[in-house]
Amino acid sequence: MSETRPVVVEVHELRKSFGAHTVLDGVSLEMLRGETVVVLGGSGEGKSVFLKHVNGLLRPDHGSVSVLGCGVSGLPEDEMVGLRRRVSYIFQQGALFDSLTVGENVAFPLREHTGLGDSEVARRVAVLLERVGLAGTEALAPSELSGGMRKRVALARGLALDPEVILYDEPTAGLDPLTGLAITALIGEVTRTTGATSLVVTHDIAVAAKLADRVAFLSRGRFAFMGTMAAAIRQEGDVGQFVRAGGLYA
Amino acid sequence: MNVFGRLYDLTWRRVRHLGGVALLGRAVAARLVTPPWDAGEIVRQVEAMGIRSANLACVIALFTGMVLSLQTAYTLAAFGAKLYIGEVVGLSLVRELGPVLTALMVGGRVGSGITAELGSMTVSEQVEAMRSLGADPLRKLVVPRMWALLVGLPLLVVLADIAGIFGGLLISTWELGLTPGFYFNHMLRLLEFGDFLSGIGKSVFFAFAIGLIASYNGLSATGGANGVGKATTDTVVAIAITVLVLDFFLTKLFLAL
Repeated sequence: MSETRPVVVEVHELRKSFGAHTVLDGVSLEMLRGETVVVLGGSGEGKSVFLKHVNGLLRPDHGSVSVLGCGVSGLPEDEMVGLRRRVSYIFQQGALFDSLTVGENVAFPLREHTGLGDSEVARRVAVLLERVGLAGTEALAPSELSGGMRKRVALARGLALDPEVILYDEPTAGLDPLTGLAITALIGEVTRTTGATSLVVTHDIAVAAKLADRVAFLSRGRFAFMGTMAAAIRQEGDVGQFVRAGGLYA
Repeated sequence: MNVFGRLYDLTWRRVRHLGGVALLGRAVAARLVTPPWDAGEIVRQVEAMGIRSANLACVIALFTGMVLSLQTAYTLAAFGAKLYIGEVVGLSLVRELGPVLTALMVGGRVGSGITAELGSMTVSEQVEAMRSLGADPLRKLVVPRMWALLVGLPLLVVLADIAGIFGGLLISTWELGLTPGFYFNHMLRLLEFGDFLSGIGKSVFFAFAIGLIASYNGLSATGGANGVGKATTDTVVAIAITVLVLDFFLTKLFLAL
């Protein structure tokens, strides 16, 4: 890993509680431009909570988050718009807008942030959908899509503004193994072609094995491990057990 | 937790809830008066909320006018004052029953719909997705619905007033043997333009309260379908209470003006 690359995501001593329940208890992370970090951890360990802090959907109780040189934690909501154009968030279930068609969903960020005309928006939507393997689905409603298709549409929507950082929340959750592999391959292809910095939270070891430059293991509100996948496999305790339980490294 | 602990917890939750509604009210009010507005979405919401509620508002007001007319005639007959039915029906409908009954109906029908729609968007992360795409959910989701209520409810109240007065006319002519001219002459002798304005003015406040309560409950829904159902029920109850309490204070205010 080249040390000359700039740090684009910087999380320092992040703490977050909901009521009496402490979810994150001093989490720190630095990501270099173009790097892919996969955050592993069991269900309910706070992986999604961590991810939502990175683009300011949640505010920390303590600590700081900086993305692309912008202090996210101290930024008012209405000043977050500029940053969110550059940082995409792909939600676990896609979070497509039910009242809009597939095409309108993908066009949403283009209409919101660019002054493009209808024909140019339609052309770009077609290109984006083709890129995720869903050409010609513009007129479908989200309710007509399978789980894998919803995630592909969400990815197309997330790529519309050519983001520099992409945040993936459980990209393969709820999918059958083959569809999960296809989505993982698609994310890998997107990362290669865009050069975007990617932060993926998942409990799917196959995703980490395919995509991660580094993995971080979130346990009891802290990163219990950070390093390469190869190093994670050799770990004792929770980290090694978790990785080996994935079945890829028996 | 002991009784005092529970009481403290309940009070604190209520205070937080009211604080949340007040903050949302301030944020929505600021966006209502500053562009950009999505005119197409506002028109769609006026159609969905206002026009589709018109039949219901008219039916409710028509029968309210008829019942009011019957009851008033029965009561006034004891004093030999049955001829004043036009005044009583007109004033009651225009100042009170038109705006209040229409607001209660719209609150139940439209308010619950807003909470259910925003609630299901919230629990399925669509609202967060909107924020993550750099869009303002209040401007995209709440402001068009609020404008639709602010425009639609006063118009529905005007329709309800007309339907209610017509209901009173039907009973006055069929049951009591008064002529339409007599009914309207008596009504217009007492009824002033200010009475209409008072009813319409109330409906503007009711519309804002309905939109605010429904949006707040929708945007703060948690816990999947169950949470959305609970939020929707809370909305109907809160709107009914708020409309009636607000009506008292607005009546005092408008009478003092």
